[in-house]
Amino acid sequence: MKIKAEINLEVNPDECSNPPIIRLAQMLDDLKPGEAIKVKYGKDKATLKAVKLLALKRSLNLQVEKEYCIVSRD
Amino acid sequence: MLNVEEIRKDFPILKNRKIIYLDNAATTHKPIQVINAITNFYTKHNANIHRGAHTLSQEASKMYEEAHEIIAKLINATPEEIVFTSGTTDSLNMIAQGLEHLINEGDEIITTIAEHHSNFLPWKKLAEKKRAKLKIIGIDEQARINLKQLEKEITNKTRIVAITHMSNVTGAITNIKKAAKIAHSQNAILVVDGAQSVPHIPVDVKQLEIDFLAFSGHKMLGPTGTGVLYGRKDILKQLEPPRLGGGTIEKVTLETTEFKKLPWKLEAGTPNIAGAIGLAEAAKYLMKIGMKEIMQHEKELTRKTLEQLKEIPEVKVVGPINPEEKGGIISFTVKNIHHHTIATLLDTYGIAVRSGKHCAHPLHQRLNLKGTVRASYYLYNTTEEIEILIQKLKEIIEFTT
Repeated sequence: MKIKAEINLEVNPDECSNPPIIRLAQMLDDLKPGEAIKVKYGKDKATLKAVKLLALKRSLNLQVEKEYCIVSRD
Repeated sequence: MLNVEEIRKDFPILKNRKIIYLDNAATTHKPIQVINAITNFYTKHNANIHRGAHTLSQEASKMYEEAHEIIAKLINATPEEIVFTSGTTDSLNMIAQGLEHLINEGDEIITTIAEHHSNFLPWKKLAEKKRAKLKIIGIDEQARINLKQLEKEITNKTRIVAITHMSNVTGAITNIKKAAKIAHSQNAILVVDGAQSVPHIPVDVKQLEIDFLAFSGHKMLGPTGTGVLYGRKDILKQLEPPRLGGGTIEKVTLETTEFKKLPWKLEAGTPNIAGAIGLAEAAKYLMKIGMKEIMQHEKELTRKTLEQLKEIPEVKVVGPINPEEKGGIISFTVKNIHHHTIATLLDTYGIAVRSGKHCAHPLHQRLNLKGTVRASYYLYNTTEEIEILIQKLKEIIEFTT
């Protein structure tokens, strides 16, 4: 599995243009088979659950670690 | 009552994409009539306007001039009071630049905390440049502009009062007639940001006693890159052309410049001819349906949304809670879930809303908010779409908390 990119959802979450959660959704849309994104969600459980839902709706795999997770496509 | 199902058939994008589009305060979709009007111009009448001896140019000129007449009719103005621009932002900047010669050191310009940046930054810059005082009117507990404060703050030094007709964040409607009375009591010029009102509610510039009105074409079913600057004729005459060039002058010598009559002296260069024709078609479409009917439809959608949002304890609506005091714009926050997260997750269900500060940073600072989720409606939205929005919002809240 190749980590294509890393994104930290804790950095500038309030940014008006292209905030990290919207960037993440776009990255997940573009994810090709064999690719993965490392997502730092920090300590916010709601954010992790949001990432779970984004992955679920796109039929992607999710591996959850402490403070980060890996979203990948088979 | 609107026949929304019939209306939706006019919008190709609603047939081509499975989407619930609730981002109409940002831009609106285009009916086939508008798309056809633009195509018709380019395929059958394309030419530059005015000063052309040939038939095509005369046809294009006639269509462009008719577009002014149609827009004038929409807001009860005269065609010479209608200047085409690239949008509300362009119109407001033109007004601020064009009135610069009337502002002196120590004069006052009044605007409000509820403004979109486009009706704040040009006045801030003008005040700084001319060493005038910029006064900011506040809001009440439901984010409605405090006109009582305007009454107290206005003085005989106030030259301009710049105010929004409908907040792009909260949908709160300002009593413009009252604002006009206050502004005119001290002979100040009233500039109204109509970007969110003109597309959605009846606006009569004469009845409301508006001096300048700015609005956008793309927010009222028209093409992007189109907008309108309305100016009451006697005041529009005082607006100095911020841009000079072709199309604005009657005669030029090395020593003298003789400007054309209104509105042409304010439309420098080749205008967006096809855009203006598309915008006029959009206005015809709206007038045929009826602005009052469109307003009622959106009020009903707003009422239903507010009722249902009230039942979700995690949701807090920003702005007026009485649908009679607002247009079809509803901004809200959700406890413990970031506004961008809500918008991103709604998008996964095919629901398009906007999140952030909506180009109104001072208002968000005043409300102590980092941002909001905004749903905004138009004539093609349905009650079923609102029900899906609420249902999916509940699911997201349940899943993430």
